Amino acid sequence: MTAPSRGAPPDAQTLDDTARLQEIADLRLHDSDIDGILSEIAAEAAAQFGLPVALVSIVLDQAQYFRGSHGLDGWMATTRGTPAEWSFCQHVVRNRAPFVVEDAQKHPVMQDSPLVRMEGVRCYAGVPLVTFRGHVIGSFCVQGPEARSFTEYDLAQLKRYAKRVITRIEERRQG
Amino acid sequence: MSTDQPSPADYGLTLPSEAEVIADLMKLVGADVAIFAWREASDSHEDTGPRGNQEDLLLRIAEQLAARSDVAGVFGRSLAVRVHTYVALSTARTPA
Repeated sequence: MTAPSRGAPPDAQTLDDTARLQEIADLRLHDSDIDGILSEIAAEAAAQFGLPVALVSIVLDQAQYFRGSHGLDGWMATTRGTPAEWSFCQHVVRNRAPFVVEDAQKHPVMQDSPLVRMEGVRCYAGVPLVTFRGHVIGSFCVQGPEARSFTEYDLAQLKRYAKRVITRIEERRQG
Repeated sequence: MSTDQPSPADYGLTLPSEAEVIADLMKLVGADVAIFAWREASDSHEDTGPRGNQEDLLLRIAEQLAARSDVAGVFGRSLAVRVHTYVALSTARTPA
């Protein structure tokens, strides 16, 4: 098992890796009806963790977009995504590993993100969404406005949710 | 939720120029595919009437690219999220 990153992560994969982006294209996520199913999984996770927001974030080359979500409000409910460089989820993809932030206001990498400064995201835990072909296409994550810790058991639960998400996504793969 | 009315600048967000968009696209998919995709998108934009502002132009390009089923399509969706975010933050928030 890859240890979760809690500090400044050593980035290993670029977001614009062509093979990874082709995998996202092949999954044709944009024209499927999967949003409701993934949002149900997100709602279940948010309830289990007692956190207001859970996301199925697909990390593209310059943005993340939320293919399933629970608890979004304000402008993010409309845009259903953010620039990639603001996101916590980019670090899950770059490291191909879980990313945990217990207090974003004190986190060396995330404290300057507009999601922290302007939107008040304080805690985050995300795990990779790994396709059957081995590409990390995004993150399944929970987040909230208060600092909190996450245990190994929590990460194991998130991985179970991520596996359900990927299974649903792979069912729609064409070709 | 903040009760002031932040702008894209408060978030450090700017829109790319057309030249930056095509340069990024060329890096991803190569010059031939990038120029073809760019022309498709630009022609569509011109066909729809007079040029609007930068956001409108970029959104039309993003939407044209996003319809593709290749890496250029992923680039288009990525660009669309960035422009939609810019537009959303440019719209004055009402106090919570």
